[in-house]
Amino acid sequence: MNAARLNIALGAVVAALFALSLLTGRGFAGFDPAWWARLAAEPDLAQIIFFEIRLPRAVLALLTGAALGMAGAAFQGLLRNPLADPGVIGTSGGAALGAVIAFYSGASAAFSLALPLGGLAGAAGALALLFLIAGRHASVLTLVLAGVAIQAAAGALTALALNLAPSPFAAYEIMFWMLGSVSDRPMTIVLTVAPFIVLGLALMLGLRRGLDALTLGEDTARSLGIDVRRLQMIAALGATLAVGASVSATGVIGFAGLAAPHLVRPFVSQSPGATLLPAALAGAALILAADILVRLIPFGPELKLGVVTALAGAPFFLWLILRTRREGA
Amino acid sequence: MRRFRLASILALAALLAIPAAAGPKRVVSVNLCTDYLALLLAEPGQIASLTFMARDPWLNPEAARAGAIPINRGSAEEVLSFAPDLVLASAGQAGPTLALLRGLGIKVVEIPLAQSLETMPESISQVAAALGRQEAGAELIARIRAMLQAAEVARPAQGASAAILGPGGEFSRDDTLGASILKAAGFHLPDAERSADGRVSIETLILSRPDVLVISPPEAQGSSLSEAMLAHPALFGRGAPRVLRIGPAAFMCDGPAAAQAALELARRVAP
Repeated sequence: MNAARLNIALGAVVAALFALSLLTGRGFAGFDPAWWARLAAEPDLAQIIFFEIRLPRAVLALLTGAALGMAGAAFQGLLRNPLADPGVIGTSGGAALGAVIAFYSGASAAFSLALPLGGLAGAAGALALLFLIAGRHASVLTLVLAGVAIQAAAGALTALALNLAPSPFAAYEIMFWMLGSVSDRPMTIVLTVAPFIVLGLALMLGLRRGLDALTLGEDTARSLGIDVRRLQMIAALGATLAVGASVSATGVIGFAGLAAPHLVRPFVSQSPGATLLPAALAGAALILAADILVRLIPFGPELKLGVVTALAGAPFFLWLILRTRREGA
Repeated sequence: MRRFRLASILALAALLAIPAAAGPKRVVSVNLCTDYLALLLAEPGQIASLTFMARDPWLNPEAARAGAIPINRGSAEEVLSFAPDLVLASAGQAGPTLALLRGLGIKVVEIPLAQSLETMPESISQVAAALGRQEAGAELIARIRAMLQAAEVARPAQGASAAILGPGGEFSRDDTLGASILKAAGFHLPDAERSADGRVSIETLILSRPDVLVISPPEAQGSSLSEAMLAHPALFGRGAPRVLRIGPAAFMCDGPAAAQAALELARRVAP
């Protein structure tokens, strides 16, 4: 299957899931004709539900999935490491910390861009710290270990920040930030973070060919005329923009950025550049599907997205580690 | 010598005969609702410590009077540092702290709190009895009853449906103080299934189609996701329910604030 057909197929899946997301309420309401009759009878209510609740949710799920998927593919190409993903290398954790500080200090109430900028700063800081600790030519092991350390430290600091926040309710919101959710986010938040995510996606996508050249080794890439430093900077910037902004709106959603590139890689050549767009679409599909799933479960409080992605993603991650070990052995 | 001994024995007996049944002198409260009731009922100087939430006017209607009183965060060690002769807590308050304090011989009184307007007088008199301030308790109950009677008079004959939204979710599940206040104000609860912890999504809340949405506190004091939910645009557009905002801490604890809320709601709906 060539790349174009894969992208069209994935695009169709994303579109279908997007539509399904707009139709899904709590439980199986969307499939109940009586519910539809009621909405037809109360158009004002229907309008509010679709435009103020479901649409921002679906859009945010789509953008977040795309951001995580493409960032995962970009990091895996940049670091030449199949285990790289915004969560594993600590970028998501840093973004959550930055966003929590921006939000709970009241800065984002005063200045709405403070939220994505906080996420951005946190993500950039975490990435810088990763390169500082692991160095430019780190082995797989070093990179993953450094990422784990950063993610753990960021998580701990996020919990601390929430405990120290002025609002008495802050400490109870840690589940949102650690596990992620797109539930009940108003359109204003979505519109605030969307430009950053889209910009990040565009930046990463623009580097397709450079990333492909990088797999041949830095020297070979340079001889092909690629400015390796600039490539790495812009790719990192794009991923940071996308991840930082999306985490600031949804919290940390794990494993999507890890799984999406691996799911599409068998269908495109092994070149990282070619996986960027399909990974974004696959990531969007994953998050949309997870978000539909949490709404269909009719009992208990609504699950956080990270729970669903972890249930699917953790076994996947283990399989990946085993496969990497087997290949390395 | 014998006369001296007799005199000292008589003096000792006199001292011991002074009734020890004057109320506790060093009361520590480890719950927000008992903070509130203690501030209303206790004598000046009787309270040794309140929780850290007592100074927050959004959580405690009597916060202004809590300023000078030392605060605690509910840990056993802090409580012990105040050398209490009475600890006030909410019934079933989570954690091993109360058992630990009891094990050390401290009198801990657990009061069932914030269940409904009907059980409120009982809770108040239990706190008053523990503090040795039964008269103050009776006065407070009478004041509350007067407010509830005024609410009964003021409320409309035909009730609308209402739900309460506070930071952290919906507070109008049937068995809550919030539901009781709504009923006293003449509302009934909309039909809706609610999840076990009372946190509903905005969509579920709107779909249950309450005629009126009561939001408390009226403005979020700090930034948090829960408080931001109170300003969600879906609650205010066309077709959204009518919104009433009621003062801080109205639905959280037993006390005059709850009765005041019932009265205000009843009046606002009255034609």
